[in-house]
Amino acid sequence: MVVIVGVVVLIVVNIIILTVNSEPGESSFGLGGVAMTLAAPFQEGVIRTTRFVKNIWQHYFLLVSTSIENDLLRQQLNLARQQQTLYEETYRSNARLREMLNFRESWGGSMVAAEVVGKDPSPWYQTVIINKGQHDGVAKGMPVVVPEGIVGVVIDTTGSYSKVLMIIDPNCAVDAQVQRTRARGVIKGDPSARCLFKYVLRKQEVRLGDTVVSSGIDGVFPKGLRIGRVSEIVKLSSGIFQEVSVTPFVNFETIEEVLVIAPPPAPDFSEMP
Amino acid sequence: MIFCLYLFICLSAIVVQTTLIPDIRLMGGCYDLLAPIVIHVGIFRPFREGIPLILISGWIMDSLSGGPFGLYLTVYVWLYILVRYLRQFLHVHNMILLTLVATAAVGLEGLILMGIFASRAELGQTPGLAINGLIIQIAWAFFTMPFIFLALARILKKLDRWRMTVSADKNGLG
Repeated sequence: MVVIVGVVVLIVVNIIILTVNSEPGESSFGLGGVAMTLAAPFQEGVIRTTRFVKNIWQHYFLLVSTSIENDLLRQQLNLARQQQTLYEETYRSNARLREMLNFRESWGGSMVAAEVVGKDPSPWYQTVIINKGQHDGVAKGMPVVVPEGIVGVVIDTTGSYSKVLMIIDPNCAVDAQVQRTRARGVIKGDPSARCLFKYVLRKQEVRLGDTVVSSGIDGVFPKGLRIGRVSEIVKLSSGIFQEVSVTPFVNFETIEEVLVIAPPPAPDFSEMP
Repeated sequence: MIFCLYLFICLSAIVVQTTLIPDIRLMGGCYDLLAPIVIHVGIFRPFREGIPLILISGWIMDSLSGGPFGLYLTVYVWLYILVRYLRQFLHVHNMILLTLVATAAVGLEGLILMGIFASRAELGQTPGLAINGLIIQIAWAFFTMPFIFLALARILKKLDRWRMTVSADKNGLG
């Protein structure tokens, strides 16, 4: 009986307290605040630790698979990049070779295509090594060109390789003429990687920007091959020649493929009366 | 074995010099990479090993260069003789002194090449350019020679160690 009364009293008191505290803004007699003050630091600690662990879990352990996937994607990307580079290289090479083929067809004569495989070990001389030699019909003295213009002349050959002296070497000379006025002179190399157009008479008309081509008189380079553009003219007050500088059309630093021009077949005089 | 190693190093230097270096703009004024090897051979290797190496290297360089044949051969032989002579007076095992000797050798080589170049071509029009090029080569040599010598010393040390291990294994000591 006492128990039942006690339970009933407890329920009533409980209802009263709940009713009183259910109003918003009513205080909890300061107990809530104390409890919060005591519990909050631990809560915070636990929450932080949980978050920290969760963070580690999410960023490291769970990311192992992501990392593996990332590695795989990176590998694929590198492969794609390699392929892209290869395609680009093939594309450029194709364009260059097409240009050379067009030039070769327009030229009409016999030519041997070759690749540059090495450059002169000395900065004083301007030669390149090409991968075609005597076995391919290349011989000493043959002119070497690219579609942009003259590169040089073969000065040495072996079975499979040849050495080409470029026209920017001071030891190289090409008999040339200005395309517009036919003013003649000799193109010589210069250590500054330009060419000097020497022995041009003062009275001959030469203008900046004029195109200089081979004259064909030297017996090495066929007539009409492009050499370069006139970039500087100095007319001294004395002397019979003017000093002319020519900037070659060919970029000798980036040269990769060349064409070696074979000499025309010797004329057959046996059938002549 | 050491001769073959030196020969391999010489060939590698020649290949690098004729393929990679001309394409690196910054290295456009790079010196002859065989010069430090010639100096190294002159100082550290006996005559019977040094001379064939010098002759082979000079011959290959002359074959690849546009200069007159025998030019590099001449330069290397003279450098070799000079270094062998200097070896008697200088303590060339010192890295700084070795670098200075090698840098001077590069300068000397450049002067000889420039002289021969000038005698054949019309260098008179642009002597400043040629001298400028030589100065750049000397500067490159001064700053990079120590690394080349250190690399050579390290390679030789490794080879020695390897040979000792092999001979110990053969004698049943390993």
